[in-house]
Amino acid sequence: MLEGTNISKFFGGLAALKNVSFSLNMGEIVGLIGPNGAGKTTLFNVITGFIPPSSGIIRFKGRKINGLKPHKICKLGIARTYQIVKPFSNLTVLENVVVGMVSGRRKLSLSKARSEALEILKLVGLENKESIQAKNLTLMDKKMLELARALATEPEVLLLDEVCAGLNPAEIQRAVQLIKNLREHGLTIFWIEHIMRAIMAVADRIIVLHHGEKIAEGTPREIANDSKVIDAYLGEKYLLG
Amino acid sequence: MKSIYRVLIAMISLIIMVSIPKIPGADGIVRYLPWVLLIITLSSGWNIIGGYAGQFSLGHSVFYGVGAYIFVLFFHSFKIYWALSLFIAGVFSVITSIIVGIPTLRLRGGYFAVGTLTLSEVMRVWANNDPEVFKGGVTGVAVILPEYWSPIYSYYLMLSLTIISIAISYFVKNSSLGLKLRAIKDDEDAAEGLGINVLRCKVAALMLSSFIVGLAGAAQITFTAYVSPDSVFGVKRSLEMVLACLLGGLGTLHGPIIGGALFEILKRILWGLPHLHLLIYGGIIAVLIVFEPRGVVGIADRIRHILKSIIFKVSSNA
Repeated sequence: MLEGTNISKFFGGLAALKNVSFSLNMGEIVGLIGPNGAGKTTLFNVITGFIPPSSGIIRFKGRKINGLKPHKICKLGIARTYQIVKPFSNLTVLENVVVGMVSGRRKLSLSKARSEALEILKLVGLENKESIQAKNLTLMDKKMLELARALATEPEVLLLDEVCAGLNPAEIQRAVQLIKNLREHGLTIFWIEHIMRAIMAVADRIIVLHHGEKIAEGTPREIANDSKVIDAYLGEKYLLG
Repeated sequence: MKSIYRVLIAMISLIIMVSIPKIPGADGIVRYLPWVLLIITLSSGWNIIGGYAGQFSLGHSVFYGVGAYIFVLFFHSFKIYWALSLFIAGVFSVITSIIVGIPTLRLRGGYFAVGTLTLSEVMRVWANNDPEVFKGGVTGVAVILPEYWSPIYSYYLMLSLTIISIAISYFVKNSSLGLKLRAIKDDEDAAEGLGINVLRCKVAALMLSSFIVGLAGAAQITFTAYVSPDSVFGVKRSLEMVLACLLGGLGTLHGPIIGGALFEILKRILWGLPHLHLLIYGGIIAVLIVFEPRGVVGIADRIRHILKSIIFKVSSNA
């Protein structure tokens, strides 16, 4: 589905990504973890076209996508959320989602987009907040709105950048359940997360980055027992519940 | 209910505006109103790129000047029929906006503002120094209007342009382009990431905006009967559209109408104090930006809220 081969990104002399390869299969949830500054968000930025890679190839359904502009990549079917939420703050919740619908893959008309946007808001639990300005939402709601907006573009692959960060345990539960549901709908998900409880429970596979290099890849259980990962990130042996 | 009310207001003001020249003794007003309509047209044109899309152009005099000079060329030099000349001027303005927009709209925020400002100065200096391209050079051209032309024509011409610019603004605001522009205004990266071709949308907004401004630049020749580099390419022209828009309310449909009218009326009142009027506007704008960036429209909103809460209190006490 989505495949990266030997991706490197240098910012001046700093290697943010060094020969990172990954591949996502259809319907999979793949986790991306690692310490701060490991290059996780940079990898997302490279995939979505916000930053051109210094070297390496990214393929989506067999087609090379690096070099394309972000809006083109979105239209091919890759959507993302942001670690630091970026809702359109002066637009209402509904309008935020409508933007995704009129500009994403389907290019719906405004009136059609409005009714479909309500469906998506229901899915993420924002159905009663449609006419609130996005800047007045709580963090949880903003994150859900970002997710809704990304879904509105009808993606096949969804890149989630720390959707659970800053949420309380009940909210994390809700977010995790939602992500599970999305997979049921056939989405492929690439998910950056620091909340191990969330990602370990849901991911099929996990990729670990450290200083821009991939140091491990495997099932959550393998990752939790990997000595390199424990040294670099987890700190102590992570106990699977 | 609310929309019927709005349509009614629009209809009534339209009828009033159309019948003003029929009122006996309204000669002075008919000569003055085109100036008011001009600034309203300009600021509602500017509002499309500056207000809706949030791209703060300080160089719209480029489109205004291109419209003016092209109109003079076709109308005055080639003796082409006025309506055709006007249309050609608008088209040239749009072509200019594409040439200007594609490089400058890649810039963001202050860089775009400074870039466009610089461009308008480049145009002004070029026009002052190249009388072969810009007829008349520094001194400009006095345009001789055909005998059939009367001030009433200018009045109706400006009134039509004002209506056209408001209509374009209305359709943009309620279209998916308008929604995309508002998204771009809030966060360009997020907009791009959601599949919006940000550059193309911004260029489209600039084209519409420059079409209106170019037409207005051409139409004003019919009542100023004069064009010179400083009068059309000067920074003052660019600033007036921005200030009128800020005064009324950025990014709203009726803001530029209210702002433009207020601006021109203020100018008339302060006529006796040359240059000081700019200082006074400056002061008003500075105060507005700090306390109510949405201008008069924002103030009206606040008053309405206060009134509502008073009525609510009174009725709940009773």
